[in-house]
Amino acid sequence: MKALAPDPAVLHGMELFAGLDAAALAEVVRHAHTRRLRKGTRVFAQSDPADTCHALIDGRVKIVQQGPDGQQLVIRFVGPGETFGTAAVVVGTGYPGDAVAVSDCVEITWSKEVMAGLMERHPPIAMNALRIVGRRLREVQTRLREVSTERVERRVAHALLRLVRQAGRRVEGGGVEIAFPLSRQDLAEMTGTTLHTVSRIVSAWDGEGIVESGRQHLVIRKPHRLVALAEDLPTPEASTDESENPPAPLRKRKDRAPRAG
Amino acid sequence: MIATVLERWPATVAVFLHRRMACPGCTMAPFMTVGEAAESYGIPRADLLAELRAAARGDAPQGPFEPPLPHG
Repeated sequence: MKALAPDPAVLHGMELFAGLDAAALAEVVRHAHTRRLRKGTRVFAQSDPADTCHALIDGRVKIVQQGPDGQQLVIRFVGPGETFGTAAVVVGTGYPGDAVAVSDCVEITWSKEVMAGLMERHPPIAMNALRIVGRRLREVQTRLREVSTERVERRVAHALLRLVRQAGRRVEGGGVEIAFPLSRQDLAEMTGTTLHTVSRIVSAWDGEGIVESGRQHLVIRKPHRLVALAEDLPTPEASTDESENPPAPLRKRKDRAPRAG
Repeated sequence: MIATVLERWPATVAVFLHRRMACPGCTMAPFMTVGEAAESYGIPRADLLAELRAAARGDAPQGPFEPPLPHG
């Protein structure tokens, strides 16, 4: 095995290994490899044979799928404690997309054969994997419904809420920051729309003070308003703190915003 | 934070529902204070806090509850 085995503590909080006892965790770690990934590193490529299970210890990885026409779709962002590339290993296909480190990362990996052996010896790992995959399926179903039925503005609001759930951090003054580099292009690729459309929406929100967006950085300044947008709740007629800040035209419009173009 | 209140004193869920606030289960609940939530619904902070304390002591409002109000 490796001369420098990682500490079993790195598995703490990883759902895939929840419920394992100390001996089992030690075995899991004994068969693992860890490595650092510089921001921008491609961890694996779409369609490569899926021969390695990955889990993130620190940092953020983006899974991007490219369609036959070259259009890119961000499937999801992976955060610390989450696995990636694992379902493809179990299914026995190629990886569903490129995995790219969007910040400096530390990851831990297991070969396909090792993971199969671990799952056989420790069935909770397989059960955990099933739960993780089931939840992701549900997320995908939700996104499918959003893409099929919702205005683009709501889809972008929902995408931001998903990112808050995964990587939200409270900042001074009651705002919530997405705590990793996020571009408008990423948001477009998460919501199946164009950069132009996302830019128009985010700029309008910026103008209304709902978000504060810089390059690769986004803070939600009015979290309640964003939730109301995502849930399609009407905005209050006269709210206490926004009377001096009239709604921008985008909020008044009742017609559907353009779909992916 | 709202989520902490809900987690520690689950009976307070009834207060938010009674006030027609969308806090229980909301993505933003871990990041918002009781004061901020009160403000965004135009409720006096002290009133909401008093009701939350009462609910935590076992004196919570009874349903049925109306759906959440618009908020900003």
